[in-house]
Amino acid sequence: MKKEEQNRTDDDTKKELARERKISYYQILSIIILLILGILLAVFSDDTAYIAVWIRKLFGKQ
Amino acid sequence: MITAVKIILTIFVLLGALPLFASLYQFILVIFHSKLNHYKLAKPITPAVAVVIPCWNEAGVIGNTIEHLLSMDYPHESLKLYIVDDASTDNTFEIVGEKCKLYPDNIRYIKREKGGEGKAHTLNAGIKVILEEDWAEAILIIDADILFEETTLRKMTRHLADPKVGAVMAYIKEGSTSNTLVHKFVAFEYICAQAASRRAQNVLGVTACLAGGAQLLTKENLIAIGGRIDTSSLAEDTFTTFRTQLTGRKTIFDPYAIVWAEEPNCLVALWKQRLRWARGNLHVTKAFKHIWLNKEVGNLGSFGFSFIWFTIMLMPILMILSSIGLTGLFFLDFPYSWLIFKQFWILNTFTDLFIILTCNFLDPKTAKRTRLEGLLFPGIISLCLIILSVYPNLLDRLLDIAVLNSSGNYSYFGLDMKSFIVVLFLYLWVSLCMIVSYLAYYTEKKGCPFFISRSLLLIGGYGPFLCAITFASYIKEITNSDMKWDKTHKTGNLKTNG
Repeated sequence: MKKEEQNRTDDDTKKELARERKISYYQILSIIILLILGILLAVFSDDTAYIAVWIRKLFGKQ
Repeated sequence: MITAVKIILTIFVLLGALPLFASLYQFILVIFHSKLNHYKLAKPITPAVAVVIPCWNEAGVIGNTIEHLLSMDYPHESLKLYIVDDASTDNTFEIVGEKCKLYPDNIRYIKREKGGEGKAHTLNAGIKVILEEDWAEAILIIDADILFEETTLRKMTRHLADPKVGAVMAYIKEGSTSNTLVHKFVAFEYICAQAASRRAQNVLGVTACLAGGAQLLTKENLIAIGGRIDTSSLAEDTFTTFRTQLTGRKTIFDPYAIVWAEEPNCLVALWKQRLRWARGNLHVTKAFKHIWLNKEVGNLGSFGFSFIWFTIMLMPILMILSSIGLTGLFFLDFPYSWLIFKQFWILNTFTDLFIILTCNFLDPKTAKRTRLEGLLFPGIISLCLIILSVYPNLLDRLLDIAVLNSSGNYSYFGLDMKSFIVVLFLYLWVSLCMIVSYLAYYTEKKGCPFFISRSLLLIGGYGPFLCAITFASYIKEITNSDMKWDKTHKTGNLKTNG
C-alpha cells in the first residue's frame, strides 16, 4: 500500500476516534441534563409517584 | 395470600420493564465505545477480497451494485466479484454479461441450474468456487441491492490487520429514494439496532448478528466454521456470527463503514422479511442453547449478552405480563397499581428521550430525516403517556383527577364506569398496542385504504409492530409452519447518501 494511502486511512481512523469521543461526551451531557430536569420536576411538584417522593425526600422537601 | 399475589403481579410489571432496562443498558454502553473499540488494532491493509453476491432476478439492481463495488477506493487487483445466479428468470444474466466484458478480471459469473433453495445455498455455491480457487484472503458476503460507499471496504478490511478478528460488519443504512413513512421508521430503527446496539456489542466484545447484507469474513475463519454457510435456518448470518465467535475469533462492527440498502416500503413485505428474521432468531436460540449464561464460551455466554438477547426475543411476552400485572393489581389494590403504572411511564420517558438524543449524536443526518418517526416510534398513544409523564403534575391533573376525583357511581373497584374503562385501557395498552399494530399489517394485506393501515401504525407504533412480528414468529414455530425464503422485492430506487 502506498504511503499516502496509509496516511489517509490513519487520518480517517483518528477522525473517527475523535468523533466517538464527541458522541460519548454528548451522551454523558444528555444524561446529566435529563437527570437535572427530572429532579427539578420532582422537587417542584407534588407528584405521588414513588420516584418523585424519593427525590423530594432526598432533597429534604416533603 | 393477597400479599403474595400482589408480589407476583408486581414482578410481572417489573418484567415488562426489562426491555426498557435492556435498551438503557445498551445505550449507556455506547458511551464506552470511544475507549473500548477496535481502532487501536486496525491498520490500513487491502487483502484480496472475494465478494459473493447472491442473485435471483436482480436485473433492476445488479448493474448498479457492480458499478458501485468496482468504483470503490480499493485496489482492483485485490477485488473480485462472484455473482451467483440462483437460476434467475429475468435478464440478470445479460446485465452481468455486459459487466463481465467491461471488467473481465474482476467479475466471475456462477450460474446455479436449480434455484429457489434460499440465500444460504446460493452463497455456498459461490464460497465453494472461492475456496477452490484459493485466491481470496477474505470473503465479503453482500446482498445484490446493497450499495457501498467509496471507502467502506477499506474501513472494513483495516480491522483484519488484527489476526484475532474473524469477521467485520458494516453499518447498513436505509437509503431508499422514496422516503415513505415505513422507510423512515426503518431508517430510525437502524440507528437504534445498528449504530447504537452494535456499538454496545463492540463494548461487550460480542456480536449478536453480522448482518448478511455486508459481512466480511477472513478465509481462515470461513474454513474454521466449516467452509460453508448454515442452510438449516432462516438466519444464516446469525449462525455464521455465533460460530465465528465460538472459534474464539473476534467480530467487529465498524460504524463508519457505511453501506446503503433498500428496505421494504409496505407493511406486508416488511412483515414477511422480519418474520423470517424473527424465526431465524428462534432457531439460533435453540441451536445454541448451550451458550446462554455459560461463561466457558466467553463473551457469548455473558450475562449482559444473554440479557439483551432474551429481552428482545421475549419482548411480546414481557409486554403481555406487564399488562396482566397492572390489571391484576388494579383489581387488588388500585392506588398501588396506579403508582406502579406511573413509575413504568417515567422510566419509559427517560429511556425514550435518551435513545432519541443518542440517535441524534450517532447519526445526525438520518436522525434529522426521521425526527418525527423517532418520536412516533412507540405510537401516538404511548407518546401521549410519555408526554403526560414528563411533567408529573400534568399526569396528575389529566389522569389522577379524571380517575380519582371523578363523580358518579363508584361501584367499579372504587371508580365510576368512565374512569374504570380509562384506567383499564391504559393498563392494557402495553399489550393492546401490538394488536393495533398487527391490524395495520392486516388491513394493508386485505387491501383496505392506505390511510387506515398507516393511521393504525401511527397509533399502535412501529416498535409494537416489530413486537407483533416476534409474537407471530412464536406462533409459526409452535405450529411448525413451513420455512419459506421469501425474497424481498427491490426496485433499485436507492442512493448512497440517504
